[in-house]
Amino acid sequence: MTRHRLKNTVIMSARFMAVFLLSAEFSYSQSNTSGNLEDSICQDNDHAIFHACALEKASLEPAIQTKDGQPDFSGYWRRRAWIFEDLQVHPATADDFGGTSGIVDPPDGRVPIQLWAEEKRRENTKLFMHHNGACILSGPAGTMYMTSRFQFLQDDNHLIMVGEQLTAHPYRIIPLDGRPHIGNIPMWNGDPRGHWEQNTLVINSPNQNAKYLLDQRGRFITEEARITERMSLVDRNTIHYSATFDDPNIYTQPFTIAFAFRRDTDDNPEIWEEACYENNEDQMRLFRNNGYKIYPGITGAEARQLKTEWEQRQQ
Amino acid sequence: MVDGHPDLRGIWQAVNSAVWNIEDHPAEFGIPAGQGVIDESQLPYLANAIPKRTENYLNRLTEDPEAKCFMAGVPRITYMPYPFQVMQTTDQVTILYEYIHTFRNIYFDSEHPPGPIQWWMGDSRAHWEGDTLVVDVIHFTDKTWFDRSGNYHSEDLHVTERYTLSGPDHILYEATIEDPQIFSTPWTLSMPLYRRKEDNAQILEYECYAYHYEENRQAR
Amino acid sequence: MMLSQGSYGHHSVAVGFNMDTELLLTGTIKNMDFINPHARMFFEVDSGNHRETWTVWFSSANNLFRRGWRADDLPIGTMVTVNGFPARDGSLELYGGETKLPDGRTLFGGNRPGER
Repeated sequence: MTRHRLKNTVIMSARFMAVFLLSAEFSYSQSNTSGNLEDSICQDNDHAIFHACALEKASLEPAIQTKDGQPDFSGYWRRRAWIFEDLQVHPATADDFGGTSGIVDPPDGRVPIQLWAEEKRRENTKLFMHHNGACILSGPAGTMYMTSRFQFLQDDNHLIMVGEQLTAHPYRIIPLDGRPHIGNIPMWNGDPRGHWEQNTLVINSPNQNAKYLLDQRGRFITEEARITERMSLVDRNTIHYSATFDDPNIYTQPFTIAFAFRRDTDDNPEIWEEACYENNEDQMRLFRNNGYKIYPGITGAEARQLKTEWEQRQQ
Repeated sequence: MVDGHPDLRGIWQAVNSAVWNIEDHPAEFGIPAGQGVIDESQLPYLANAIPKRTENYLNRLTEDPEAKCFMAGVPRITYMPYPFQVMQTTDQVTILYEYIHTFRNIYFDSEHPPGPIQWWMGDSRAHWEGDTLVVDVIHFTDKTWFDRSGNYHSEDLHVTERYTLSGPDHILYEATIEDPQIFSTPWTLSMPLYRRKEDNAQILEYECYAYHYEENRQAR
Repeated sequence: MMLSQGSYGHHSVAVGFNMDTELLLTGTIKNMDFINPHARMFFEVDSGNHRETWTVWFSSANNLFRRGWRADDLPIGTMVTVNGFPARDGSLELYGGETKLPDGRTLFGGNRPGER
């Protein structure tokens, strides 16, 4: 199903389109919007429902296993969430695909943001363009829900992800061999390490530099945030993905997002090269002409300073 | 072995100064001397392709696409002074380069998609010839150079790479360049690739253009 | 007429383009860049006593390649009709939309929901 909305058309066309609203009865079995997707045992259009279903269906026997009995995530996948627009529930508009809240904890689906940080979030939306517009990387979890299509390749020691679609050709190399983290080298995508907890891959990524936004509504973290991701196979064609953000500088409690990846069974799901920065000057000009700068990130120290200043203003 | 073939997985890096000039060159300030990595004594430019090479050389500090933080193309990405990681499965080899998070998917048992297509890193399709991985690369832009010295190509570039394990920690890398718009004959460059042996060897990030953005240059 | 919704995906279209207005223009193709991250078409519109060169922004070249389009499908000189959202900064740019060719074929240049 697709939804379109006409607004104030300057020149009318002889043909008109029907307008559909995002419906809770959106079919999850076969979608004509995202390549070909096989049926899933859990519907994926409502992230909280999907998350609960995936947890309930969690099994000690992954549907596809490596020779060591671990889940095998190899293959082509599409992320089934548009939470890069807004982590919280948001409607379809001309600019947004829309969807239910990606936040499964806290259960009310609202980002548990501190009051001073909510003000900063609003400022961010006025001042800064989205980092992807400048071809900047999206961080450990952001990469997963901002990139539209992936291939995952897995061997005994690595889960490797290569992505395509408007996030500047990201990749992630996630060691699974228990090697220690590196030292103090901050990077956009951090320093990931994966380990197995029963049939779930748990990924920790310290050393992320927080120089990216969490969504198009200006949400953010600092470099002190701890990001923990979990992946498991719900069935042969569905991955349950979740990410917990723990940053006491910005949020009143950790919060968790969750959504599905569905296996892409298109005839040709190859991941191709999608250059970004090489042909991006004109797009940057549009952003700059409309007054937007690149989001510079924020450190824990800066956040604490801003919070103190905000608190003083409240007195 | 992976699927009966030599196992190329690991972290590798070239050690030479080809990225500055693939032909013999003396040192300059900041640039080491180097012996050429090409098999010929000189690059076989067509006469009418030489002026552009000269112009490139004179303007190299600003016009080299690598100086602009653009993707480096093939084969230059192989000898950029940054490590890369090779992943290998039955269906493909994927190479993940530290330089501007570039990656190449190199598929077995498949055809190039029909063109015209222009990608910075081309489209790669591979097969094994004995113990050598042979990679056929086409569908290039004309916007990358082979080195900082302005050696260049057209969109008709056709690269044939060969990766051969010459010991547990070395790959012999060869790349044959065909571009009838620019060169009178094909030519080949070759070099060893060295396995990064540190226990903690890891691909880090080099985000070239992100450092250029003014906002990121401000001291924090 | 199909609207391309939020076709920038990860950076909203509305930031650069006015999505409350839609323009429908007819002109002749001057050039077509099948590039990533956004393919672009340059076409010349006859505005009465003068000509204007407009730029139309599309989805990625890869999405167009996957739908079977190549540069040869949009040769220079072809007359096309394009709809899209105009740029906010007043430049002659559109976020497209559909491009209709004289033989009746239509290139949907935006992102389908699964491509965002």
